[in-house]
Amino acid sequence: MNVFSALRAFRELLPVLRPEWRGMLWSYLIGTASALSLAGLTVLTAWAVGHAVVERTPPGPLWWVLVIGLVLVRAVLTWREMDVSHALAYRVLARLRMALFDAYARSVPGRRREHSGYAATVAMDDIEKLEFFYAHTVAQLGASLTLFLASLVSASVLLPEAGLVVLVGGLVVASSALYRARAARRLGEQEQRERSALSTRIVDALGALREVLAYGLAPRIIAETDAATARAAAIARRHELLSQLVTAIRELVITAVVIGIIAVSSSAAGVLAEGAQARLSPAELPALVALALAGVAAISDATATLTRLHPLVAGAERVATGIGRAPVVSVPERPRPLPTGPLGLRFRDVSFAYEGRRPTLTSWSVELAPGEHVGLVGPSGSGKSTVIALAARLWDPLAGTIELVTPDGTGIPVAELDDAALRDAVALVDQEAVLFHGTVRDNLLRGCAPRSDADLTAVLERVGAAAWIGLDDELGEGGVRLSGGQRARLCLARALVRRPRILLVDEVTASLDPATEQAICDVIAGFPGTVLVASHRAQTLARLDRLVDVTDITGVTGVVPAGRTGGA
Amino acid sequence: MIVPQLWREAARFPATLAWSVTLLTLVSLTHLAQAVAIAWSMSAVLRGQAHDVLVALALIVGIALLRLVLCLAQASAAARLGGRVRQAVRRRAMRAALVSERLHDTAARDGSMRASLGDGVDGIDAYVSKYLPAVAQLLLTCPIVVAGLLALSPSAGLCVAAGVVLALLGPMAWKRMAARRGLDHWDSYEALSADLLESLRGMATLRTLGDVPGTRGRLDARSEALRRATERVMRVSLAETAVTDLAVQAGVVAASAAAIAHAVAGQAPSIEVYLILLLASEAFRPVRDLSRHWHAGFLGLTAVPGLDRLGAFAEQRATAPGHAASAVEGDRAPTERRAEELRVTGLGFRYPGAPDDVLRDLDLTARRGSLSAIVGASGAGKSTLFDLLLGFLTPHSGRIELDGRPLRPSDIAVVSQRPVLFAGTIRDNLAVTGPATEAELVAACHAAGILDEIRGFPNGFDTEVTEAGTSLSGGQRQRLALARALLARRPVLLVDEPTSALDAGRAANVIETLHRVARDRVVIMISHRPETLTEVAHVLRLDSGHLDRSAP
Repeated sequence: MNVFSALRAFRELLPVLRPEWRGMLWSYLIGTASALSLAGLTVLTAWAVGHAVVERTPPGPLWWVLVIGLVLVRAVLTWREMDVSHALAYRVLARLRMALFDAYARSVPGRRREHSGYAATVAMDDIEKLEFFYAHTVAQLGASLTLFLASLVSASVLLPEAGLVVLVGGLVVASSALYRARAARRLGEQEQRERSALSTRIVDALGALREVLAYGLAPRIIAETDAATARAAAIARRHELLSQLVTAIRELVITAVVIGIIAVSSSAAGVLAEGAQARLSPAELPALVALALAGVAAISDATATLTRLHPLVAGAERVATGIGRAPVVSVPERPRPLPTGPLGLRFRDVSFAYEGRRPTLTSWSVELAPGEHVGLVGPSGSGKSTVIALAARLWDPLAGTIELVTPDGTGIPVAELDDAALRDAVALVDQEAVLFHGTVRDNLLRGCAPRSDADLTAVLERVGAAAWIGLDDELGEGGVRLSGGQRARLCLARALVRRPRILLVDEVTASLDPATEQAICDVIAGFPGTVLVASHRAQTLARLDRLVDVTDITGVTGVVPAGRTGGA
Repeated sequence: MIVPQLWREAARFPATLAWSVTLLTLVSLTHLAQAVAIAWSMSAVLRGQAHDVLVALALIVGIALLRLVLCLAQASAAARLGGRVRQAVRRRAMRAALVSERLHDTAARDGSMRASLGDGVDGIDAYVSKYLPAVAQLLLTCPIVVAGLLALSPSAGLCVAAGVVLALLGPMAWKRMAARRGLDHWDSYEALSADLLESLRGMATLRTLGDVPGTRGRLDARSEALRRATERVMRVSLAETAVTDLAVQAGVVAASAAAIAHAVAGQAPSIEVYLILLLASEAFRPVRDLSRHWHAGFLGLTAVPGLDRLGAFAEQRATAPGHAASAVEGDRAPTERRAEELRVTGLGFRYPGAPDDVLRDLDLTARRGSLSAIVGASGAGKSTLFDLLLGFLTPHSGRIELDGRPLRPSDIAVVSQRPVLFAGTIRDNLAVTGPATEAELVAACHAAGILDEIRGFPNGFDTEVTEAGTSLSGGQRQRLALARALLARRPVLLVDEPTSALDAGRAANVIETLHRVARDRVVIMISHRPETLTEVAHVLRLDSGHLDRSAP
């Protein structure tokens, strides 16, 4: 990673600042005013001291008014500047978080799965760390530069060689922004890798807590996170040492500049060599030194800010990559409307492969007439779930099309539909269906048009859930207190509440007892629309109009009479 | 502001803490020495003593180099202290988080726990490594400087002392407000983190439900709440910074005025005037440092109350009785142990807040040699029974014994209905309870009927499994979990619906395997499918919390 890629990473994060240009300008103006008033305060004090020491004259009333005024103004300006810049940064962070969510919503689940613990670190920690970039960088660099120029110009007017020292000193100090930059970036990257590995580990352990406890893995996981923390702490220490070293080098440079300014202005004031011609009154000397120092200190502040950006590069890159993720499904430019009335489903020469795996489907075709109930069979791992996921448009196929079919046989590719219209027409119940934190009512109504409580209760009764759960019951994440069968029924209820035209069902009856399976099959059989059920349960399959084999790779739809498969 | 928990944590490493404070004090002494040297050089310049000027300048450079070394040593000590405290707090927080109580807690959210264990613990580092030594340093050096100033000029000394006191006490007025707002901030951070992780995990469901816009709206509201809370707490901290800054500037100006009065009155040689000026500025350096470190670290402090509630600062935490054994013992050695009989007597359980018992007065005996099966409608309490056997729940009444002694969690291997695998290779996942040889892996996978599929993967046993095992089908996950349980070689095997995601042929193989392994261990299977029960002699029906023996 070099300076240019680092710059690119940050540049990609700049567009989110565009709506904030007023705030940026305001922050710059207040910041500059604040820095100038501090510099003014120092120069005025030094000036008064110089005159008091050399000429033994106290400062006049105007000086007092100015100094007291500047003390007060400076305090107010400091507060305002920080307030404006931080508020701005937090607005930008909130916007970045949503941009990242949008990117994930378009691209998750990808054909290659990604850990949610990793994604969560990017969205929370990495973005939070960028606060420094947005709060301190652009406006503050501008203010520092302005102060430096002001100091340079006035020092040059007072004494040209002092101006030269300020210029050279400023440039040398500025060059320290690049000292050990590569090492700092690398450490930042390592630190962040450790952080996301830790987050992944924690999310894994919490997600699989039952397994962790059952096998007594907690001590091992704790030991692993302990070691990871120790590694992260060691990296943080190296990082701290590095930034301390760069700071110390910068301070040495500043010390040299101070000495240079004292030397140059002293010789100009004629205090070092007897009889030399004095071009500057010794009384002005402290003021000049203070002025020059203010300029160099401004550059030093700006450089310190830049130095702190190096370790953030890795995070900035990850956020930028996250926001730029490629979507897994294409968005139609002009979405087609979906006609009312029953819909069928058609797979036409569909091919699909998960990344790094052999193709799951190759030129596979099938057609479901509107209202038809069809079963999908095949050994476990053969691609039944993939067919269902493609029909639900979690992914676009690599080749071929998937269409919704009207009764007259017109096919509308799902890729050309508006997402909301598609989701309205097609509902999915599968093994991976997630119940969310919140009440039963919240869960049933997610993404659904408003429904009355009576409607919801009726659906709960239909799936046989009303006896053991009510609309106001809290489910907890993933429905922690429910058994597999109970979760399956609630997921089915959630699909039915939406009144879809096509119902996709993946292995939902697998974990149910025969009586419940019977009840669920009754519900599915009574569903008025088109149904595609992936299952290996003979009892479930027996209730469907016909069966299709997913392993039939000839490209011709395999029609197997019900009852011939699923033997047991 | 003093956070007692973190001071106690730092005090657990007295040597590192003392070293860090000592070095920091030495660093600030070099600043004082430098101030003296600069004052000397300035007065030498004014008096035209070229030799003195050169000596003073050399001194300045020497002191600067010394400080460089001291600063590096201090930074290292401070970072070590921060790292150690972080490590200790995280260890305790993890221990408190990985407990069976979470399994049935409807309020538990993985995302907020992730935030606490990750960012929350990392956030305390800045306070411990930077702020805390800075407080100690301030208490040590400020009095020295003020005393020196008082000796030089009582009025300047008084001005500076007043400024320091004001700079430290001024922000105290906001302390309570800051603490309250800090809580809001962390709560919104956790809430956002929880919702975000849940949405990321359930993104496929959200997309198929068409609830992405709705979730976006909810997350946006959360994100805005976090932004407002951060802004509010930040505003308080910034006001503190401004008050400190005001006191610092006013103090410096007042001291300068005293020095000017001194100079004009002609009482002192000029070196004293410069010394007053520079020392006045130095007196405020620790205050400025403190304010800077506070600003950098205070957001991290908002997590402290949450970590405290979790028990991250308590050294001895009473572990839950049911789970204590597996956490403390953690014996993972695959010892071949045999047991003859698992006996449950008078078992009763009710979830807190639930109106009815899930299980009442339940008796059950399972023996080695043949498979035992439990059937019953979904929701009849079968999974609860397994959780009680595993020690994840504590029964209200009754006993669970293995060969006459209490059953321990480490006696049991389990295959849950929806097994979860870890991100890692298949080999890592199989060998969770200890290292296994290739032959053992092959044997276990063959018995579980998954061997051919593993060999079919591009990297065999070294194929990477994604988070929660979602890259595998439900059936593959179930059979891998069975292989994992067989490798654990524990005397009791609990299997919850082992064939629910399998086709008929594979299901028959798995049942055959279970019959075989039941010869040398106690095996209890939950099942709904009549075809899996045909050979099972010992079928128990769980009905509204009671077990009845039923004909096979």
